[in-house]
Amino acid sequence: MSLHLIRLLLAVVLSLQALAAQADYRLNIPVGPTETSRAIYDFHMYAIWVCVAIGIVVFGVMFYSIIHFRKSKHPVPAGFHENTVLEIVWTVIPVLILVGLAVPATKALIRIEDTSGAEMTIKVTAYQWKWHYEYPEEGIQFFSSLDEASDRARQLGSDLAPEKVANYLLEVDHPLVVPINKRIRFLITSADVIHAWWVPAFGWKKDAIPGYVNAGWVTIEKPGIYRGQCTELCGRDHAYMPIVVKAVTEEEYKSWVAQWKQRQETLEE
Amino acid sequence: MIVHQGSKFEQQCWILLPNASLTCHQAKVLLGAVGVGMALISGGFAWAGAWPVLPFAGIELGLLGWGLSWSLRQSAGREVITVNPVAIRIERTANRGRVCYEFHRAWVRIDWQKPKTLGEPSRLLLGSHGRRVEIGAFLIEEEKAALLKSLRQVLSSSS
Amino acid sequence: MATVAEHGEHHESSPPKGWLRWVTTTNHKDIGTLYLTFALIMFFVGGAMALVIRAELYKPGLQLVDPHFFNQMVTLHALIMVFGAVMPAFAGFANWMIPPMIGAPDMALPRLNNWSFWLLPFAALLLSSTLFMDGGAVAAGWTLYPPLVLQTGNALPFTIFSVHLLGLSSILASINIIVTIFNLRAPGMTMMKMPMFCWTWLITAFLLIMVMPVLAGAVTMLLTDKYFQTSFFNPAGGGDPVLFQHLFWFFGHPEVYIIILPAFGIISHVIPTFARKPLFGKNSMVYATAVIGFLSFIVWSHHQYTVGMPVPAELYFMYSTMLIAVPTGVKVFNWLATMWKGSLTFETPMLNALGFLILFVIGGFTGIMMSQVPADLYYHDNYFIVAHFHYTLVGGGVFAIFAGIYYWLPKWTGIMYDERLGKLHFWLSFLGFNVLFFPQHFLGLAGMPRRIPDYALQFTEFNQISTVGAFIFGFAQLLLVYVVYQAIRGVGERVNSEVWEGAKSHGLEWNLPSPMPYHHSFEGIDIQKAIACE
Repeated sequence: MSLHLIRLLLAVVLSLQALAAQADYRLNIPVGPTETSRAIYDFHMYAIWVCVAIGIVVFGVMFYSIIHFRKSKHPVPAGFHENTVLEIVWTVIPVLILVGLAVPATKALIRIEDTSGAEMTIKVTAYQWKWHYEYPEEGIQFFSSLDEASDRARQLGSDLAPEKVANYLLEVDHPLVVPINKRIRFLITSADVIHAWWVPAFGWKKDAIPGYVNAGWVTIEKPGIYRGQCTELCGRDHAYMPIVVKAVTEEEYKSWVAQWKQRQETLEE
Repeated sequence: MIVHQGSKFEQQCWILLPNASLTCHQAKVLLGAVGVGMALISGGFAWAGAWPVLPFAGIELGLLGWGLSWSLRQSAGREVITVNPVAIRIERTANRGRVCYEFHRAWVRIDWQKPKTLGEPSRLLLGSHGRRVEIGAFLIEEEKAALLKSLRQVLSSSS
Repeated sequence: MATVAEHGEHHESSPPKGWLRWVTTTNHKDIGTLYLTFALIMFFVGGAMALVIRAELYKPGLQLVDPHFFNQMVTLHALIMVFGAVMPAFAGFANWMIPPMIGAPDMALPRLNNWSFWLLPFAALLLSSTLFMDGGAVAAGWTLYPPLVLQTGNALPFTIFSVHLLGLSSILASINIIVTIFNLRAPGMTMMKMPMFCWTWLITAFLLIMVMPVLAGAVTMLLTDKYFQTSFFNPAGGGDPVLFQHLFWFFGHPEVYIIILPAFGIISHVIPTFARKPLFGKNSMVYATAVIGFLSFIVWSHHQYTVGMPVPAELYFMYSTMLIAVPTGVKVFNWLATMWKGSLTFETPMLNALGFLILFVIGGFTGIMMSQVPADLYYHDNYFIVAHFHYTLVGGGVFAIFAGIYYWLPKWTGIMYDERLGKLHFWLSFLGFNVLFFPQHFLGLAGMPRRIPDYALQFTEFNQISTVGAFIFGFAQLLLVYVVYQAIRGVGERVNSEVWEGAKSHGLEWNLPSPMPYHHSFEGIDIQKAIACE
């Protein structure tokens, strides 16, 4: 039996190494360019370490028992089956640990969900299977859907390998362009079924629900391109409605707005 | 459960009772408690606009009530086995219904019919001349064994 | 009355032979076997669907199936595993073990018992047949959220009908268990003396009958919304799609405890037996189970942190959800204290119980992490949650089922299963499971959404490992079938009534002969003349 296991383990380890060669994977949640993202990351790490600490105790006791109280080493079992003090202790300690988690979680949540004081608003409307963005202050609106290369590569039996496509499934035809260092409020809704708008770098996600307008906010501190996906099953092409947010400086944003308006005008004529 | 009443006037008596750990009153309390819980839940959802939860809750409560009352009726039955110097008598009661069987003591045989294949019930059969009655069908195996032993002891001891 | 005599006098007729016996049986052991067999078949059906999912996810891009079919697989995999495999398996254990544990000859409602089982195969067939209908099976996930689910083709009414049937089956089983435990306990078997497995099932049965009407109502409203122009969930008609989510999760959250509580029960029997020590803190185990049962009713919206609830509601659901960690912790600590200073041996049931403990604790940790709203805004609906609930439901539920099967199989068949193969099955399952689901934590943290057939390139590595694990775990289950089949055929060593060393002090069932003799129900008694309870 052990031989089987060793062979199997070996096979798995070898395949893991082979895989690691092409690595671009990550293990943990990203620290994004927003306050919310950092808060979520910090809280996530705090929760992990709390769990690791409890895990060391729990698994420590378990493996200590497995090793030292096996029949060959400890042939006569003890007979105890009650200890009120102990039972109270291990009811109270978890409560204290939970309070220790709940306090920072509450503080973080109140900050995250405070959508007041926005400096600009963007309306996000989900469709099967694309996003519609509207800048009410600028009078700009457009659809944002999966880019052509990804769309070609994603077909069943496609001749284009996904590996050949840059940012496969995470690229759109028209990205959402936003200025940095501005408190932006997103108003999220849907025109058909329920979707969810999520950019991992910003941390939070919000469901886009027909008949509801949900709000979320970001203040992006660094220019860059941030990618995300729909995260609520919304039908056949749920996997194919990415989100790309291009964060630029205020000046670049202004010129983008001007450009877009000009293009819109020429299109209308 | 078997209650063995020792010899009284040369008569031995066993009373066989099915398990019945629930009283009628307790059953009503139980049904009431479940009913209150369900009323709170389905009432809450009805208030939120989802009234179709209500009929399903009602049907379910009815089913639970039916199940409880059926089981209570089942466990209200009993069997009384009496052995006197001449005869062995089996009196089977299920509330109002009562049936009696009588066999001649000298001729009576008790059989412990073990399952022939996995899946057949084991039975305790009592009778003579090809007429046989099953006794203690509602008992568990150990009780059947104990009853058999005790009956055989009494039947073989005298006459 | 003539019928009385007929009832009373014994006829030399044996029960029907062959397949007819299984259709007509009212014997709790036969029905237990039927439930377990059905569960095993459904475990393979649902498992095959999981392998389709994992095979498609081996590489980015679409290689095998169309996204719509993928979504159908995701939906049916969950429905079949939850309603077809795990719940019936525990119902099978309940049928086999509850009567002997409380000293009853059979379940209280034997005919109903037969019926509650035989609804299942038809419901499962109906559900599977929707795959071949116009527009395919339901592809909106097992949560059946509207408005998406209303886009289903002809399959919708059939799916809803089969959900009704599955629900009815579990309601009947629960009613039977409640009545049996309350009314058929042997004299002297008080509630607090009752074994843990009976306790956990009793609480499970209460959860089931409380929440099933909510599910039944919710899916019925879907049906009327689609076909009878009502607008319960249609915003255009003044309805509210989120209402469905509240209804669904009011059912769905207790549902996961319905799956895990009987598992707790089994583990509470296995660990003491192989630690050769009585269960630590039996009474607090009972209270903890009851508290978990109660809490499960008031935490449902933690599945909906992202729907845009007001902050106070989010905080309430966060705090109440965190509370569940306390009674669950009590259970885990009690199991550890049972092992402490015991005299442990590691037969297959114990290995599976330890596997359960390790995996369930890991699942519990991710559970605590996800109960926190700020972090859950990130974890929600990505692979982190997929890893979490598979750690609790497969690592918890299914490994407890394995433990229960190996623990009681010798008692049921009178034959000791092949211990060597049993251990191999455990190790392959445990290894396969972790290779399958542990990487999914990383996928989630890296940002991979759930329920997608295709993914961006950075998720490739972990998906490939996960798929390898899935095939190991899946094919390892063939071993289970072989081991169980051999024991049923009678290949192996005969066992005595105790089976496991010292087991007699751990439960009534170990005092019965192995294989357990067949009792039967109250057929000898005249029921027609009985009067109502007054």
